[in-house]
Amino acid sequence: MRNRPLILILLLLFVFMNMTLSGCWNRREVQQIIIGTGLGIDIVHLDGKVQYRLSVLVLQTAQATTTGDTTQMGGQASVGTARVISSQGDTLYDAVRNWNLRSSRQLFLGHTLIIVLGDSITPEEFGQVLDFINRHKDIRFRTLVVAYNGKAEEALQAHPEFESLASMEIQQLILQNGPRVSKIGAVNVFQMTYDLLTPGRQLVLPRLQLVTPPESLSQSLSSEDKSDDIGPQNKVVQVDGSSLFKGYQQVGWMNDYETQGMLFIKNQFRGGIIPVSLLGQNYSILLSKASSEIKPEYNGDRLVINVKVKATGAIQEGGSEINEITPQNIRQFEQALNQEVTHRCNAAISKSHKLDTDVFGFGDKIHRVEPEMWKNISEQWDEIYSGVEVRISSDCHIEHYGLVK
Amino acid sequence: MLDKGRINSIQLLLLLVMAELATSLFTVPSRAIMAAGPDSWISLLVVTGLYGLLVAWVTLTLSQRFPTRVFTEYLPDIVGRVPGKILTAIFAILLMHISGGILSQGSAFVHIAFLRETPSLLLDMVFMGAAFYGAYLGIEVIARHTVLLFAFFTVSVLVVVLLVLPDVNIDNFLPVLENGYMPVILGAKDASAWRGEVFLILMFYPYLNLKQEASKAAYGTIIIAVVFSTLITMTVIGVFGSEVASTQLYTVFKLARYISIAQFIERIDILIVIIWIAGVILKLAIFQHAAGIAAATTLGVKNYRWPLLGSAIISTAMALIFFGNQAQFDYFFDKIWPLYAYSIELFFPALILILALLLNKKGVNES
Repeated sequence: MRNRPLILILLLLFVFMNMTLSGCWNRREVQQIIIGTGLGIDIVHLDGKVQYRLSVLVLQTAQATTTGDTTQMGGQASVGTARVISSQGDTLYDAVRNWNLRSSRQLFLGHTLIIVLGDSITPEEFGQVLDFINRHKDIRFRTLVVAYNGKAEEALQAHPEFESLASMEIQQLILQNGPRVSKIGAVNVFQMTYDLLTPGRQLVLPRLQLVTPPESLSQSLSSEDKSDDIGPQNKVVQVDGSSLFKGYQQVGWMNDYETQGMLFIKNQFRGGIIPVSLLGQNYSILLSKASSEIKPEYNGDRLVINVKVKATGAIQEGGSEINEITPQNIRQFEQALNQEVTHRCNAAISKSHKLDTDVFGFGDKIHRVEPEMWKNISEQWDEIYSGVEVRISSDCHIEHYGLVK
Repeated sequence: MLDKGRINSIQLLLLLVMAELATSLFTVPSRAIMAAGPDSWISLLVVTGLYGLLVAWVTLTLSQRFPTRVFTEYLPDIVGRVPGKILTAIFAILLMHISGGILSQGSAFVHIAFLRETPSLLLDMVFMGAAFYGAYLGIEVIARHTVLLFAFFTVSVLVVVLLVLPDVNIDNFLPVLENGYMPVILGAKDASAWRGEVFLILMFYPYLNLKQEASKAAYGTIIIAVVFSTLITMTVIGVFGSEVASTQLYTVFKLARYISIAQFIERIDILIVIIWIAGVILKLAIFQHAAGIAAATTLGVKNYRWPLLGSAIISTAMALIFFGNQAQFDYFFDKIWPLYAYSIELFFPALILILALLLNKKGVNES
């Protein structure tokens, strides 16, 4: 025992540490927190003062589920495992902390799946919301953002049909099923920040809607029910179309037809059905492997943006009369398909020209590939954008036609 | 030479690499991107690389003239006893001040991103305690620990880079050299300060067992450090783009958080935290060892362990006094640190080297 004093000191240290370090400062035990899975942000005015209203879709705690009026099946909680709790404050964080005035549990936002932005948010407040989301240590870049034409508080109360949580349903809908239909442009916190900060880009958020399920509507119509009086708890979520922004200002909406065109141009089309009509019949063509290329061109004094869309598809559904498909008439199918795709793209472009917002990031593309040109036009890009000609060319191919000859 | 330990050239190489990368790998990308935008990877690859090689050459040449003694031991021989003692004292204090900076940087990340309620002082004490213990045990222990940590460090960084690769958008690198070469040179301003930390070879050269392999270690350090920091900066630019990346305080941490492979491999950001804490403690230990030896030689004591304790306490105090809040801290790293670093890493050793050459001072006949 050469180092007797040292060992003694170490032993004393361990004893001392045991007494003082019995737990850490920041422990958050699971029985003390409540997990927020969806955030809804609204602005309300209280005595002429702007107030942030934060609605959180939280997981119901076990106690609340067993004692509450919710149904429980075989130990596994079913519908009613979640509820919306909202709080209000002068700033967003104030609202987050005011949460503690009515809740015995700390709010934990590390599992936030979606953020719903209500339509009451004005540009100044949107900037603050963006800052809050980016500065918060628990909210992640992967959290999805959706816009709702109404009060976000309401949107979160929607009845989940397939998952136990509305927020999880919206997330899965956007991430997993979105690419199968390509009418939803998924945007997460990072992409929102990216679109808002990068010059020459504008933000587009997917639009969340609450709909009364058509099935239940047909039932209620027979019993003379007023469908307007149905609360959000009886509606289900649907994501279609998109919300267009200019800077931080919400300027308009796109329907799903236009959104699909936008996704083609932005190279975000992952697959989906394009119905075409040919020879008096309707056909469904399932497109996959789509890609696009944007090439700005300055010929003479006019700026033209060429967009080339390429896709491969398959005929998946035909009319009553089975036409034999030959190498000759498959060209006709392809032409009809090209027309249809171009039409969608043009619809998106005319909407964005009408609202005067460059949601495709053409300005950003010019900046990246033609930096010299961008230097001249970057200052007045917002003004000249609506006059810029965009030429769409579509080059689609049909690979096969399903199981029918 | 107060520490009797001996290390080989690979250990010296990795020791210097970890001293360079432990903190800079995670903090430099956003600083460089703020200054040079999407071209910042070029500044990290070329400009900081050249600066690093220059520092490595100057300090190595100086060290090779006095192969058996550390910088603070032979400094009085070159400039005279009294000015020499004053300079070594300043050198020791600057090393402690840099340690304070590292400590404050290390605990700030944990404090800001995780443990909000834990006081910084406690984190500082925990980090410094571990670092002090490492430095107390001597250079061989630090060197062996470095080899161990370097493997984990490399794997973690590569895992993060590889997993986030599907999110890289090539457009983010364009346009190349939009505003000419000036931003690229200015973008290296901050990063160079860290790359020059290879100057620590002044304090570690005598421990090297085979002196002919010294140049391999010195220049290899710069090459490895440059490759790592360019790789991580390119990944940050590719994923986040320069606009978003320059707004984020801990970009690489956010990068690790952004990883999501099929909604399955997620939330592995803790890897970054582990290598951050381990790296900060190692870097502190390296600086503390240098500071302790520098203080001991200045005071002329034979055992460097007591000065080491003093240095640990002074460094912790400096971390609290000079880097009190985040604004002070950022101001220091933005405005003061580059010039400060250039003078201690390059100009001061270069001046001493020129003096040594002019006065023809050499230590080859030392035993």
